[in-house]
Amino acid sequence: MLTISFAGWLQVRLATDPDPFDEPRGVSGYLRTLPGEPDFDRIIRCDQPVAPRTRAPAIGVKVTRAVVESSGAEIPALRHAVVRLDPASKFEGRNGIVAEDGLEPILPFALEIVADGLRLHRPLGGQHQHPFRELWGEMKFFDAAEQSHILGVAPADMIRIRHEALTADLAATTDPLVRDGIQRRLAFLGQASTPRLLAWGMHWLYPLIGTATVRDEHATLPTLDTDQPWPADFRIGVWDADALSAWMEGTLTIPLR
Amino acid sequence: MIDTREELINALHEAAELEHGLLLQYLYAALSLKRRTDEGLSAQDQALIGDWERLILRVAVEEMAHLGTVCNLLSAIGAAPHFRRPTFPQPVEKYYPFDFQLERLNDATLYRFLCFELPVGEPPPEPPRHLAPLDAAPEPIAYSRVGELYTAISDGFARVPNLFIGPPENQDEDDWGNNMSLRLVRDLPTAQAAIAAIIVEGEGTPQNREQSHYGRFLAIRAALRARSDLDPARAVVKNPLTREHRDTADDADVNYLTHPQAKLTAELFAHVYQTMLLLLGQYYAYSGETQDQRAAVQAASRQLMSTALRPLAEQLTQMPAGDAADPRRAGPTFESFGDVTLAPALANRWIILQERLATEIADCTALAAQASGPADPLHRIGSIGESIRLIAANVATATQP
Repeated sequence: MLTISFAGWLQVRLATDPDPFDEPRGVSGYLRTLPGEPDFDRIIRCDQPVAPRTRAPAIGVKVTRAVVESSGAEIPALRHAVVRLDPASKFEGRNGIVAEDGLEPILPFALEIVADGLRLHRPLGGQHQHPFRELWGEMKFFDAAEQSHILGVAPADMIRIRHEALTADLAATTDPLVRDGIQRRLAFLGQASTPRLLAWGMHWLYPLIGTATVRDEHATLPTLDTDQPWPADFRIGVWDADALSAWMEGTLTIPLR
Repeated sequence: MIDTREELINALHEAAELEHGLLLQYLYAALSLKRRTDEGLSAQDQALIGDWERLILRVAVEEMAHLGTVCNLLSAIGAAPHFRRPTFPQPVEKYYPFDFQLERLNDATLYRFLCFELPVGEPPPEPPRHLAPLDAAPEPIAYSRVGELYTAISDGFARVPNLFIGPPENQDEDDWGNNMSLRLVRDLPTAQAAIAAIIVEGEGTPQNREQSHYGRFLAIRAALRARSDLDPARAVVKNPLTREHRDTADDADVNYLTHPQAKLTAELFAHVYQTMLLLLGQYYAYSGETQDQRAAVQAASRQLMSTALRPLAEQLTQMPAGDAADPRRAGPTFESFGDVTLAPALANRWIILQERLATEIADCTALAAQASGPADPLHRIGSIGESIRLIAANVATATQP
């Protein structure tokens, strides 16, 4: 087996209940666009964020380690490789019609790993129908220690540091549009519920069985079995709602021939 | 003075119709608001008006909770939930001591909203410049403020003996995933506490009006009056209808939608609205549904509100009311095409519900097929139809023998 571990921050810009799932600006839910931001599109982006907010974590999910399990040999060419999902991937709960909050499947789903001369891509594949129960996530919170490790500081400190930074940004600008946006973010950070979102987490295990694509120009990989399923086992959480960002970590396991 | 069960039921019916009528007017005004910068809004005004929409929608949700609590009050005294109401408009004194209109958000609309929620002891709001200020068989109910009606109801609860005969399990205290506060009614103290809470949410207290419905409308009106340059609402017509109804007066201030696609979309909206009312009625009136089935009914009504009714209303406010060149926009009519009554037999309830949903799915598909592209208001109706299809599937799963 080749086990590829990955981690990093993703961005997802979406409205929340009770807004309709396709609400473009956010009205009644706790997430709303800021003045001047483009409409929400719900897409889960592991790189190339859209309208990233200031003071947000840097968006980018990357490979942290790739190991051939039998020998323990690492694949250096995969280290820091970019990890992406399907360009249309969304949380498809549809206001609870498909799945309630915290259980949403991610659809469509594919995992792509790209580095110099290397590309691995495999979609979920298979036939899946409403309510996609086999694709539902499961709630799996991030405890305080995990949050601190990922954030680099304690969760309460992260909120406080962000608040202080935005307060300084507010004092430094006279642009009314920018000021309006910062003031809205400060109000949101001051709510009691905002820090609690950092504990949120979901887990999925998706056996990828769609047609695999393997491009290995420099022959750095062992021979991968593209017929057997490739389990993608991952969590998304530590929901930084102010930044519309969440932490993703997981593994893709690829059988070898 | 209310001193019989029948009079109390009639008064609670009046309260239910009031809450229902209020929340629909609030929804109409909120959903009439402009949403995009290509409607002449700056980015900041887009966000400001979004704040107003959120505040008014929240008030509408709280009125939904009031309606739910009134249904609990009815249930507690052995009566059925009440979701009937007359067609808009409902001119003052014909049905209620208020002028009930479906109207876009403007100063006149906010003036009417403030009149609805006016607390005792507060001076009436300043009328808009162009409006004059606003003056068994069972005994008729006389009141001039919503709070006054509820006070009479509360007194009635204290006066009528042997009232609490309704099964407690028929009542609702769920928050509906929307922080709604419905109150259970078991006895006189809980009934009067529920009524007092409704009054306070609407009017506030002399010490604190700010978070009440009255206070919130006051704040929005002050902000709007400070911006003579801002017209926050789309040109949606007043009191839109797709057809004349028996209770539509000859001189009623209505606007019949004639744009073919807007008319069809409005008819679809009204049909889904009635389906939602049917589901609410079923949720509040057991006929042997299992807990899973009751949960499915509640979920379906909630999901129709979020994924069908609100988006359909939003699309309607972007469609012409008349011909294609008409600058006036359509709006949700909240019409009823006949009485919404529950079948006594449970099996028939599911059949009738699925028939209604199938009609709505087909209508959505037909309308979406006429969309000229993603920017066409009809385009979103395809997704709405898909949501209704999945809701129907969920109900079918819950009702499998």
